[in-house]
Amino acid sequence: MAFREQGAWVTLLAMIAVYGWYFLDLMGAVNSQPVAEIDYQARLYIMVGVLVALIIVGQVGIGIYAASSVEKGLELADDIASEADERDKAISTRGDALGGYVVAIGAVAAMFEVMAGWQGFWVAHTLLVALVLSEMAKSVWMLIAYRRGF
Amino acid sequence: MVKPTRITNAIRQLRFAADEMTQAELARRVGVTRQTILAIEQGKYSPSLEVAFRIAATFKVPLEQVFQYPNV
Repeated sequence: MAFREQGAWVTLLAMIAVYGWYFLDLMGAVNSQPVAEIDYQARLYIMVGVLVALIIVGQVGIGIYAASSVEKGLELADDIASEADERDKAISTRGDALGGYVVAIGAVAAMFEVMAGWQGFWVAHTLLVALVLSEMAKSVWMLIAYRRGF
Repeated sequence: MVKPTRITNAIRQLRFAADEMTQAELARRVGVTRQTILAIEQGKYSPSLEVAFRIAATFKVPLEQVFQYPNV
């Protein structure tokens, strides 16, 4: 399996685990008390932090792993870890474009929610869902691209 | 999903002729990953001109001997 394909799997599974847990937990809260009483801000700060951390750790982790492999004398061709070549970059760029569409849809949805007077709880979570789905869409696209060929 | 390319290539034959050079070795000389060489060889990925010329240079042949495009 290509090095960057492994990275996409790790990102995707981490996202499903972390946000699966978060949204299940949140749904429990929504079902048990009025939304206005849920102290969602504190949770949301943490979850946004986790999202940023996941993305940064993923990117930096791959960078460090690749750099250490280069130090050990391993090259692009060794399949272990490497700087991205032009095909890796093209796949990544397409993934970013796809993620951009997902975020845009979420932003428009949030805009309509605000205009319709929805509570901040729903607007904030619509945006969080958009950000999470955007990262997941990118990971899924990368898996498909590396699997089926690009 | 991925637009099929009409470009064909003779990389496999050229590798065979070049002392059965491995995909990894070709990748090393060209400066891309082995997966990229594999994708190019299978016609799934059309490389940049830069990489195309580096492949040709590795085999010391003109570009047209590596990649072909059908006459429309």
